[in-house]
Amino acid sequence: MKYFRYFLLLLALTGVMQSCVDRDYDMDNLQDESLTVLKGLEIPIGDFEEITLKDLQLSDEFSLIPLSDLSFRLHSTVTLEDMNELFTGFFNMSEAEIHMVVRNTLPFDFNITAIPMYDREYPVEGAEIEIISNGKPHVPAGTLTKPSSSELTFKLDFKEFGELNFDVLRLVIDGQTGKNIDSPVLNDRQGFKLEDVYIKCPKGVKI
Amino acid sequence: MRKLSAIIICLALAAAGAQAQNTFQGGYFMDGYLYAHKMNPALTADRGYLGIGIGRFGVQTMSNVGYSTLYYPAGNGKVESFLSDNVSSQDFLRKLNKNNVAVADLQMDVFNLGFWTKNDRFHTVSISAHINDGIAAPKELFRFLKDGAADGSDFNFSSLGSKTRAYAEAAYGVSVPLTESMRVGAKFKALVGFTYARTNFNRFDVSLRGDRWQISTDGTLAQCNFPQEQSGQDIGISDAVIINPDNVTSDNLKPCGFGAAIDLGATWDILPWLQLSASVTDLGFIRWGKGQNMAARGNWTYEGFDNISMSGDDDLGNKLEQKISELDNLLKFNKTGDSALNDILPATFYAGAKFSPLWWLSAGVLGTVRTDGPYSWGELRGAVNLEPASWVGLSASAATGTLGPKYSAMLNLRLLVLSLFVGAEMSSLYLVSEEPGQRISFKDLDNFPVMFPRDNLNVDLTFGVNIVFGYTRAQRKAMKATLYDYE
Repeated sequence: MKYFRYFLLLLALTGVMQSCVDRDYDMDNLQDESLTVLKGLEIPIGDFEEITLKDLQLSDEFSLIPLSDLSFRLHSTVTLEDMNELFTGFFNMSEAEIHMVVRNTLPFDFNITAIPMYDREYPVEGAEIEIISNGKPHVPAGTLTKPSSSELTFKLDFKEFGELNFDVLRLVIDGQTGKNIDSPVLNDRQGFKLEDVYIKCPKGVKI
Repeated sequence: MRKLSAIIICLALAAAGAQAQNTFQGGYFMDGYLYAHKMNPALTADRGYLGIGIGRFGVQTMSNVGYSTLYYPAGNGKVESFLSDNVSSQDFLRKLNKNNVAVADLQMDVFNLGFWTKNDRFHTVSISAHINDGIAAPKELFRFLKDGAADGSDFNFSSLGSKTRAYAEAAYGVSVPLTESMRVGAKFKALVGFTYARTNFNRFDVSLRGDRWQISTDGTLAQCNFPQEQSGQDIGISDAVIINPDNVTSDNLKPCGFGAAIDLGATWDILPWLQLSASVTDLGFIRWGKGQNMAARGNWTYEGFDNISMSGDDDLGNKLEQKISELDNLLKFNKTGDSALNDILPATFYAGAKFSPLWWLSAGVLGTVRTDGPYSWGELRGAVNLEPASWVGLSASAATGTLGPKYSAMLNLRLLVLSLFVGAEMSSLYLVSEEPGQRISFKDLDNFPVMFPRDNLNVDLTFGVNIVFGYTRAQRKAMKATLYDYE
């Protein structure tokens, strides 16, 4: 009986010492570089002020170039920037959709290109940009009394590296009028406007 | 967002909750354990004892989440967090409770004295320091991070909260025999408070709809000597729920509140081999005289902007900056006034039954309930004690409760006049270490790994060294019997 008691004691001690480290949990090998939060998030941006022809002529950021065939070419960039004021590294997403409605009263057929930029000035290479909704980044010409309205959705996918990492989105706007346009025909109240802009992050945001 | 994520993980893993109240329940039924009276003042030590400095030290964390809740093996030895795309939302969320709590307690007795007097009374005197912390995070918060708006856009974080309390306790207790088989005990405690903070939210709603984001808060923070850099100023939510140890200064060590508490208990040896016991501890309060009330209340709505300038001062960046500033203000606790704060201590109820079929073998069942709002918990414990010789005893116990399972062991040694005890409690026999595969090795103490249980973060470690004196329980019984025989 005496030895049985000591045997029980030894057995209990052995049981305690059997506690062992779970090899599946090596916290030194924690993969913390790929954390996704807020899946399906939609970020409302709102409406941009209308850029009229008058503004275009005054601004350095827009160029209205008369061409030899008496047409005009308009080139501009619009930057959706500083979104990372909202959340640090906000534009780290595996997929993003930028929606907008472009309301155009200018007699220009526009093509709009989206370029994600990092450090504000360097285009992100390898970004795959798909235009969904109407399938074309095209905004037809309109008039002051009959504006055209186009809904555009730029779907950005950075398949090569698995995630996007940009801090601003640059929209390059290129437009051209038909031939033989006489500039005074253009009313300086005509312009274009980005409305109902919002960003969707279907797969969430990488932090 | 990175900060928020870090906060959540910190809260769940490192944070401590307000009242784990380290008493090492695993030692409740152990005859050789000197400090069972901490749980029931009617219980006694078998001999008198003196402990100075290291008489008893304990650290305890309790939580209904842990490593295996927040981290997942990814294969090839890698581990990834619950935020990884590879971890399914269903798998993660079903491991969580509606309210996820982490509580912790550090307790150090600087002076302990226990002694018997002739009338079979057992007296205790102690001076001890206590630090209690706690955090509660709703399941909704984790769902927000994991699923975002993909699975609904409305979130309620109102059960988010935290509390912390640091105080010193001077206690006198006495256990008195009522009859041959019944004892009652009481312990009177004088408390000096040093730091207190408690954060609650009556409302914390977040709605993230595509065209409109809305956040509504109604939170309060009651604090006294709260060790925050901005204490007394406006502080953010993360500052209100996590203490930065770097901000602890000598100001936090000045007395800020005073209080009193009482423990009451009874034991009844209903049969020679069966003892019933019940007690309640920490019935009392601390009044924090130099308290301060703060509040974070308001609504924040974001629906995008009108007329965003393509360039100039009114551009998107500037507008967002202004909006974020409004959000920061909403999530800040602003001082609303100074007033004394009444802090009711969380009471703990114990009820136990001890079976002693053999003199060297006993077993017990102990129910424990702590009542403190979201930080409340309860457990039912079964214990087996082996005390084959007067100089050695071992207790093993297992418990199940609202904060998950626990397994504990305690070793008690008597070497001449020294009484040493060491106890450990874990929620799992599987541990997480930064050095995987390394087993506990006492031969290689330099590389002894710091380990935590893999599952619920239930850890309770205690040890102490005391000088024992006076007659043992058996000797006192023999003397009493001799006295009866003589009479």
